[in-house]
Amino acid sequence: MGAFDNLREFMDRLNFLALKNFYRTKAALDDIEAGTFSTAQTWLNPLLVADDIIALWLPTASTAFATPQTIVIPGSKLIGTAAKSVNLGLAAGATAKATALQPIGMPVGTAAVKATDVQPVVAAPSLNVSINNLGNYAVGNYRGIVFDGSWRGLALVELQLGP
Amino acid sequence: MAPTWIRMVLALSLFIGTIGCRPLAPPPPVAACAARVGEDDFRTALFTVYQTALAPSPGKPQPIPGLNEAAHTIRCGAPRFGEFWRRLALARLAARSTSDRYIVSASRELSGHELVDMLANIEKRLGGMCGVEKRFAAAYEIVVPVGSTTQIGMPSCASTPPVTTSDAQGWLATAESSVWLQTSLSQVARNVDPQAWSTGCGHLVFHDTHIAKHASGGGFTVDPTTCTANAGTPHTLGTKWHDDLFEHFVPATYVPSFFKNILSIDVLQAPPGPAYKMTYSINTGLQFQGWGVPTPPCGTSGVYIDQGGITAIDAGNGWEYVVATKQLAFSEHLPNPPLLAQEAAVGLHALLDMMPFLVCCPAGFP
Repeated sequence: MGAFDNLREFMDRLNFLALKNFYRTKAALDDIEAGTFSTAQTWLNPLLVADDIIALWLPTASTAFATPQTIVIPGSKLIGTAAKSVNLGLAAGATAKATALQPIGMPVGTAAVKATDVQPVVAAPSLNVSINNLGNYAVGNYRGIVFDGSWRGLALVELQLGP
Repeated sequence: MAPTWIRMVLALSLFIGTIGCRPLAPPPPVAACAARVGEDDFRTALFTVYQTALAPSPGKPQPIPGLNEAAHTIRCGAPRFGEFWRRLALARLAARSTSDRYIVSASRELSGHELVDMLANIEKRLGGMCGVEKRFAAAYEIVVPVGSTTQIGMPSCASTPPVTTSDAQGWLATAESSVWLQTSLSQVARNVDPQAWSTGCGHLVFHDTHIAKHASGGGFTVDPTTCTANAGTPHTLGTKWHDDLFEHFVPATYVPSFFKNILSIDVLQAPPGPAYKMTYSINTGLQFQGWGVPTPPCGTSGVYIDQGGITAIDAGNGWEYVVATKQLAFSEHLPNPPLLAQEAAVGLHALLDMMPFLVCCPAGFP
């Protein structure tokens, strides 16, 4: 065990694996623990990792270099609309724009949820996301992203659409 | 006898004088092209040159790893992929600098023996000229002269220098380009029709584009082995149509890499009217490869935003004004989307610069 125990513990706590940055950091940390720095020097780019760490400490709106948190929205084709509000610490006047929601883990060729059916609204400090016309889409999971006015990732939006 | 110190000064003066009178050394020989240049290598080389050309000036010359090799690859790949790319790269590098010795070296490698006079003209004309876009326009007029439309690998119509801008903000990469082309609106419409992206000079980055076949229950029918949408009924090139298109796009920023997406296409205006207008946006991302990430199963999108459009207006005098735009944002499945957006902006700059080549694709390409 070495001097980076705390860092590793810290990263594990932040669940880097789930944040999909793990690929970049795990090999580096393994190297550090093994006392070999060959991969670490390449992979553990101090600036990028520092960005990730700093961004994770900052309010979500500043996570330009980190994967933003996921807002899971359950919905039903029958009801046709789903919505959720999450406090992201947003400032008044902040703007948000959503992309189409891409199918994930669904039969290949499933059509995406159109961006025009995804409406993000900032009600500081929260982000409200409503998804409309659910009856038009296949049952399953979809994911898109909401950007702020500077095209930084505010939140991933995951629609879990049931019958 | 003169004192020793005077003799030394005289000898030194004579030595320096000899150096001053010595004729300039000839430029270093241009390396011969050894092997057939591969597509991946050519795309990567273009990206290296564009990244250098678009980067802010470092103040004093600094060596740029891989630049000379990239210039060599482009020069040697030009017969296969198009002389236009070589000249475009030369104009972009010259716009960046005609005095930085590292860039000058790469420019000489690009020009080879064939374009050495052209390079000399560029250096002469751009001397003292400020502003990258102004310098690029001046260099473009030299490397793509009006008379070059009959040369092998050059656009078959006259063109003004493309005015291209690119930018990255957050996760989003954007680019826009406008150019005047001396051709017909119907030719523009046929060659920028998304179905034709992969069959002409766009093949370097679009390996396949075809109408996607819709599934009876909604969505699309896709071959899961190749993660390619089955082909639907094609539309007549250059006409108005609204449909979904499968694209297999190969970017220049990482090797090996690809994106397979289904785009929603709307051709809103087409000849015989006086304008052509087409917009597109991602419908469903199917798969991607690259950036060290294991290739995900078919059905995983690599992009959240992939949209843009092309508008062409017939000026009525044999010239068409063409404007192309594109926006791109990668998904969180790829590492560091903001960093990728910066690289993508460079790639998009090159992609939109090629508009004269795409529209006026010479015979024999790809």
